[in-house]
Amino acid sequence: MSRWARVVTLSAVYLAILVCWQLIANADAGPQSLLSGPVQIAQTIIEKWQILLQASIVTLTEAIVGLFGAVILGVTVAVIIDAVDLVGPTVYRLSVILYSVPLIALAPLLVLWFGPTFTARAVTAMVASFLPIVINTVQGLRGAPHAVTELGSSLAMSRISILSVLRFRYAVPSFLASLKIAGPAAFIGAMLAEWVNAERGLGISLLYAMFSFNVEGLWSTLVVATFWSGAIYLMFDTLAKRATPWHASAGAAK
Amino acid sequence: MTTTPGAPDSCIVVKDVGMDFSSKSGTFQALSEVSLNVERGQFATLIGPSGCGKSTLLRVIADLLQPSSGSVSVFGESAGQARKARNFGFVFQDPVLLPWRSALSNVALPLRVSGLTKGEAEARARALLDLVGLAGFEQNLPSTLSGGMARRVAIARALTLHPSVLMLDEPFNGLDEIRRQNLNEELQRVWMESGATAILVTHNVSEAVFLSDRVFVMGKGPGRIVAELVIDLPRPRTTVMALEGRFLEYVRTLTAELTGTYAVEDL
Ligand SMILES: Nc1ncnc2c1ncn2[C@@H]1O[C@H](COP(=O)(O)OP(=O)(O)OP(=O)(O)O)[C@@H](O)[C@H]1O
Ligand SMILES: [Mg+2]
Repeated sequence: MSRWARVVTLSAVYLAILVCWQLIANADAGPQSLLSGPVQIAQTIIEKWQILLQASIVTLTEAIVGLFGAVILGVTVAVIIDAVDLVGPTVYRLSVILYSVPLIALAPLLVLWFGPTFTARAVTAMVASFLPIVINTVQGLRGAPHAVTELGSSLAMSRISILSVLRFRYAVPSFLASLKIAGPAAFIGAMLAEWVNAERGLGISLLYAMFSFNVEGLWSTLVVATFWSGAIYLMFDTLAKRATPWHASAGAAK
Repeated sequence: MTTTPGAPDSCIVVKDVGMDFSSKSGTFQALSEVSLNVERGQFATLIGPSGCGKSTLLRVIADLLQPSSGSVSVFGESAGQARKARNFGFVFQDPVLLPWRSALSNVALPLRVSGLTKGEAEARARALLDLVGLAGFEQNLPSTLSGGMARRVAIARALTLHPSVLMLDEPFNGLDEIRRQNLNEELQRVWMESGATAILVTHNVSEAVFLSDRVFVMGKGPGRIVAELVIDLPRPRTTVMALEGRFLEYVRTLTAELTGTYAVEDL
């Protein structure tokens, strides 16, 4: 299929979905309706764009700071797992346990520790997103050919410089790929943290809209939140492809 | 012509080296009682059937593997000291070029590691790429080089620190006969210019005769040295010489020795 044919087909499919959605919403219209049509949602977003943007900035800031922490924590943990055979498996298990704690249970605990603060929300975002970074980075480091380590040894490089100069670059593609998962996860973590601890942000807006039975408000927040999640994914997807142009062809390298 | 271990002109002395690999399923004896001696400036070759421990022996000499028993000394020092002093240039069975670095920057790596500035390192790397016939390909990424070119880059990289010992593990494996012959001639030239002692691992009998002063034939089960052959032909050797009587005589002798190392079920 040509590029244009694909674009046209896809647009047609999406348009059809939107039209159906609108028709169902119209049929179900009334003060008790739980479904907003795309037109009403768009209207609400346009009307309330300033409020939605402010809320978005709050949540995005939490997510970005949390993700930043997750990168530092995740890469550190990955390096420990890779380099220290003795504690590696234990550190790995601990990471999995921490990640398995339900966020909705962890968020109140973090509020107790850090108070109802920005820090508590950012830490929730961090916990929500660090494990994919650990797993992918460890895998990437392990994927570096053993001969590369031997090359480093034959040049009398230290273990640390073998890791940082040679092997880490092999892990970059999978590290960047992990951000595609970790980024949206941090965003969702931040929204969830707002449910237990926030005055502003997309998460708390959802909660307010729900309690005041503001169906249009709920839907418009949901659409905006989905937009940001998708945008974060796309951003890291593009970054991963741009930053490692050698990777696609690396398989052919001999 | 054999030398006694520790004689002033011996460069590499391997004494009674054994190598056991232990795994869950037991211990595998890869090398047993291997002793050999290579003189300074010589070109030595290890040849033998697949799995007889050639790469393992080369790694032990380069201090990339610790032998289970025995010792290796290089110019009177331990292999570990020689490695840390960056006396070894190693060409691996795969070229192992860093895929994100250009050919030039791959060759410059050892120089950068030893503390040269980028400018100095690249100037010397350029000269080395020129030496192996790759002028004009400095900026190519490894994925855009042919197999033969990638191997030349790996050889240039191994030569950058003027190693006193050059180790080559099947550097031209998988290349066609003509290209291989061509690279053998270049390797001989580059090696003669460098003055290094060289140890080559190969499966190819005529390559061994063409390049070596001395050939060690290895057998397996466990890996050991079964024969030693001195190749006394003038240098530089040429493709024409490789068609003459004395050369072919060496090829015949070596082939016979090598055939003896194969168990009947291997043939
Ligand atoms: N790290 C290791 N762990 C366990 N066994 C090993 C290891 N390295 C090598 N061996 C075994 O030791 C034997 C010798 O291997 P080596 O790679 O030295 O053979 P080789 O002569 O270089 O073979 P080839 O010509 O196929 O490259 C093989 O049977 C191999 O399976
Ligand atoms: Mg081998």
